[in-house]
Amino acid sequence: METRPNIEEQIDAALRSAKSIQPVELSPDFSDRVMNKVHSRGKVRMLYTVSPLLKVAAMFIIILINAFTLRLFLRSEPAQNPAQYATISDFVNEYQINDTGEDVLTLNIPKHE
Amino acid sequence: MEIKIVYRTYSINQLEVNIKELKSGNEREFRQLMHVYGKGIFNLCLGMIPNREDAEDLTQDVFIEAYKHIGSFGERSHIKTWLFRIALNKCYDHIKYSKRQKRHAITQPLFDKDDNPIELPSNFEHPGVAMENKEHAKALYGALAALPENQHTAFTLYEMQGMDYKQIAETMSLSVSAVESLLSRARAGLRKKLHTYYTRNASS
Repeated sequence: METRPNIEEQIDAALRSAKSIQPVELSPDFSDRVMNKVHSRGKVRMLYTVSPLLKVAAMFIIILINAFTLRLFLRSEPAQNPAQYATISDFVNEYQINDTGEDVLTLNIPKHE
Repeated sequence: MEIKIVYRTYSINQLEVNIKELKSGNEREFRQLMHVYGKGIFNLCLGMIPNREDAEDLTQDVFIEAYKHIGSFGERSHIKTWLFRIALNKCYDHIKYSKRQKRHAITQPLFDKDDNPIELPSNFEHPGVAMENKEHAKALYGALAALPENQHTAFTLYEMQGMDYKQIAETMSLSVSAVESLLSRARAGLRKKLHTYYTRNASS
């Protein structure tokens, strides 16, 4: 087991090692690499800045289409309601089913023997 | 009435950086900025994260961020201070991310009792550390990583970057007395953690 003074020496040596660290040079192509990254990130950023614009444009077009459709719908003539008939005879006259009606009745009524 | 806007130029070792040109997106001026401050930022990052590759990636990120946000640089502080602050924030994010990764690592034993105050950096590769100091530097970096963020930063800026109290205070937006206190607590904390580490190592 190490003695206390030894440990203290090691602690001092560790603390002193901070002072002995030598400054280190950057790679010679450091600036070029940074500039390349700056330019490539610029391109990526351009794509991202365009995409929200596209989204807004797409939304605007959809809103326009909806507004146009709504306007068309509101301005169009109301749909023809099915004719209302005051009496059954009006209905019969309209569809000229006077004769056939009898036939149907005759056909459906069971004959009494 | 004519309003004249005066842009500051910063000069270090007879090299100047023109802020007006930087703000106008002048690439040549930006390269000059990297030339003047790149090494300092890189060594700061190495001081916080002892791995050449990671530190260089972080330094790149710092300059990309600076390029993007140079327009918002208000010139209330020195551009070096501004760059150092960006670098420190990048380092903090990286450290937090690494800690999270370790916490969620599958290889981490479930019942690993983490009572060791120092976790040695697994990817220690600091080109500025001499071979004979490597083991001590590794232990120091392990102890530094276990300190609170602001103590870690103050110690790195003072001991490794050679900044004075005033410069550290400006970089960390603190008072000089607060920096003194941080440094004193950092040293005490480091001693304590290193003591436990070396005692354990000696007995094992």
